[in-house]
Amino acid sequence: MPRLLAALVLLAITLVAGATRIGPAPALGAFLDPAHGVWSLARATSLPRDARASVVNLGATVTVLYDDRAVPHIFAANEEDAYRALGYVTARDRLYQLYLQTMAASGRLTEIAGPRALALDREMRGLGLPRSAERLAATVPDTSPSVRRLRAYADGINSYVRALPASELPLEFRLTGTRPSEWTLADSYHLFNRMGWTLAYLSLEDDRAAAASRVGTRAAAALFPDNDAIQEPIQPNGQRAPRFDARVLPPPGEPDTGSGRLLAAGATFFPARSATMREDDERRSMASNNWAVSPRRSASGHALLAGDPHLDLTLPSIWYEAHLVVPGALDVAGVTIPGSGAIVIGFNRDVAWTLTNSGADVLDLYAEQVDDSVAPTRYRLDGEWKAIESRIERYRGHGGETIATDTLHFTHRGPMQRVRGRWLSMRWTVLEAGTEIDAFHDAAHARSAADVQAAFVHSYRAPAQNVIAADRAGHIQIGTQGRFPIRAGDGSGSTVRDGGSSANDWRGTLAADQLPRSIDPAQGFLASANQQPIDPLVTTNWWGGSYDPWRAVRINTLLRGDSAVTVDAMRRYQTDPGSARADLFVPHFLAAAARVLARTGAQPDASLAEASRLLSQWDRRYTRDDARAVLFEGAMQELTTRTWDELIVPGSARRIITPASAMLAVLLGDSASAWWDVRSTPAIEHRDDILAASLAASLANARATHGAPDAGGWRWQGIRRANIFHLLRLPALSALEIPVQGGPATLSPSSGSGTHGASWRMVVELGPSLRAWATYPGGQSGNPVSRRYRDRIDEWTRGALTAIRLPASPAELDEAHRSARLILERTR
Amino acid sequence: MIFVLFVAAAMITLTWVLGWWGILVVALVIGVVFHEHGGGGWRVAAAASVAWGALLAADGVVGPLGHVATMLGGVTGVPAAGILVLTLVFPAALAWSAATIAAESRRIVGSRAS
Repeated sequence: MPRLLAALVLLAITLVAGATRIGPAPALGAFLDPAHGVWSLARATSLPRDARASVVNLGATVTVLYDDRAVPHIFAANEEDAYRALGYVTARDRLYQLYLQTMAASGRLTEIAGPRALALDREMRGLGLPRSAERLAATVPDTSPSVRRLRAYADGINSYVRALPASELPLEFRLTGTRPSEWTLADSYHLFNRMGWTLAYLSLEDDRAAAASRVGTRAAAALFPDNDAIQEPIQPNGQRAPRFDARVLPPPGEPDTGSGRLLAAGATFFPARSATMREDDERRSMASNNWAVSPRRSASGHALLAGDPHLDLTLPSIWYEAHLVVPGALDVAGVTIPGSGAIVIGFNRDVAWTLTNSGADVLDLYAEQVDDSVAPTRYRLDGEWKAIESRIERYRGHGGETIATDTLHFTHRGPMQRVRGRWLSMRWTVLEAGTEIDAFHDAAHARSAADVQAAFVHSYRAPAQNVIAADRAGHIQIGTQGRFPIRAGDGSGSTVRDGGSSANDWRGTLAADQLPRSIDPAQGFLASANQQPIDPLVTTNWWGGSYDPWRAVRINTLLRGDSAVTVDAMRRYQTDPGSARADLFVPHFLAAAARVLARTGAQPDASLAEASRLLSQWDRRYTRDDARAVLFEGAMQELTTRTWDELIVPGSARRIITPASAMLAVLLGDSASAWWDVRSTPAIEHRDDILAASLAASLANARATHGAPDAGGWRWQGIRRANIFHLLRLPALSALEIPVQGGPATLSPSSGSGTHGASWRMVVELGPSLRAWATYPGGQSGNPVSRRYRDRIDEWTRGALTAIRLPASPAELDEAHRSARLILERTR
Repeated sequence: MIFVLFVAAAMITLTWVLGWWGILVVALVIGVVFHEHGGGGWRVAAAASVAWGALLAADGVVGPLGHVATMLGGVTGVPAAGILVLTLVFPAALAWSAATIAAESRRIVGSRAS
């Protein structure tokens, strides 16, 4: 009997542990099963040398050849088949990424993570992003070639999912107890909306409101100006150097209590994003670079193009490299975002293009008058009551149970939120987008740089991008593309407008000829790095946004100084360790230190003298072995803390918002500005006092944290590192603490957390036969066990690029450079 | 020994077809058939470990099993060897308990019938 009892207990335990999840632990039976469970991943570490698969609705057999970089080259008889195959190979390599990003973008993360993801889901749904994607998918005409291609793309993904053997189920599904779902057209739109959420958020008005709540509206407007003080615009302004628009900052004023509602609005509509943006000042210098060089300034005599979008670094990467060939119709290569169904950045045989984020303000808030302050059903517009659209949102848990329910409200402008007792509605170009896919598909067919721009002018709405293109005829073009609202009155979008009048609604969007652009400029090159798109001296249009000039200044300096640019120079520039920010500030620190030391006469501050000596040794390059950048960065942090002390939230050590470092540069011209004074001290400090004290304090901090200057602890590679997290932030599946070259405001910026950076680097030479080189931090496979999971990280860390193979036919990819072959046939 | 290998072969086959439930099915059948011998006792448990061990070995021949174990160790916080051991112990525990209960049940039913 004891034996039977023991057997009963043990069987109960093994059955429960085998069949059900216990806490975060997966159900052990299916998980450990060596035939189909997690161990079987060992059999899927590389793609089979030869494989065949069926794809629904395929018109003709498609051949996919994977090259030695695991890049699929898709050879199809028609375009829809090519996109079906793209869907299939993307799912084969990145299935969990497709699943997770859809769950995030559609506000359904609670179904994976439970209530702890509720805040993120509420932000997505509260903004109306899933609603917008679902509506779009339900209304787009099937006659559109791009929609048909997106449906074909979904066919490819779903064909893979339906035939997925249990042994190939990605690890993450096993860990989280989830299963891949069918891909729908709406899922692609969810992805585009998610990109809009990432790249076109509430910015300038939110920053100003935060500052105004501490130092008043006048000072806030000066700290977060409409136009950058340092002008090196995307549309060249004919100047040979950046222009400093001198200005005097008004002194800090009294806190403006009225700004609280606007500030709260930002936090209400974008709670997660607002918190992130404020906490990480350096995100301001995170974005992207692109530039192009005319044939007359390139060593080869051909146009050159470079691009490196800076995004969150993840494993697997946001990018997936692919090449699609349809003889006589399509031959495009580059990177797709899994789920997008298009080559987003890339090239064909004639033209190459790449993007940077515009950052312009494309979001406005309206104060609405409603019939019920708690559960409104109508809002007032032009003296009449209009119906409010309501939508019930249910948030479900892992088992399908309802975790929470929200009722969302929408006016004709967009989603509403109750902010401090008052209802605001929001209008946002991202919610009115939907034809972006056409722009990418049309760009794939472009024959010239002008064709690329035309494709974006015609179809691209949001998030607004600076599109640069170069072609084999030697033309280079850049254009800020997207929809930019024309607003009533002064055209500004930095205030909450009265929603009671339709006169305050947007009056259309700027015409293409009003958007910043340049074609074959006299200077022989074009560059964008998220700086202000157009010189305010040549336009009256309001752009809003929050720009940072340093990378633009640096790349323009490099390109101005090189009249025979090579492909290798383009590559080197992408990880150039130089910094325009350091070039500007270091002399000021040194000069201020010298003046303070001279003033102290017989009893000079030894610490300051040493700090000054050490800083003067710095070549202002953030190389991995550099041992002085840490001193400068510490001094900049101290300078920021001491100068913007007026912005500190009472009762905490945290600033409510931090102005861009360009504002510190402005302030340097005013040695007696009230901003230099530290309020907590009885003395009245001036510029030199603060600069010198910041430098000395940085030395003390660096010594305390990193040891003596030349003992090894100051080496930059030990201080700033890239951290490429797995999508689920599992450290074991991440690549962490990677020493990189670059610092704040360098062309390859390294943020404080190291989780953001150059997500794709590409250089293209537009010669008689186009050549391209590229890399990204990760690998083609999303399977953590695959040798292709992180195989490019070392290359990316070194700033190296690899030549991209461009076979025009299967025969052109010889066996030596082929890693696998996949034949896709029509499902019978 | 032959008994263990025979049962292990059956478990490999049914694991391939039914997943981990295959261990349970084989163990129940063995328990009923060999109820007079206590359902096979430790030999059924050994057969289950051998079966999954053989399947693991097959995985290891084709791919980097050690790499998978290390990765799983990193993800779960359990030593890689511990996960390997668990993979062998889990089917053994399942098989022994199921076979024992089946044998006892068969014995009780049989004794009542007689």
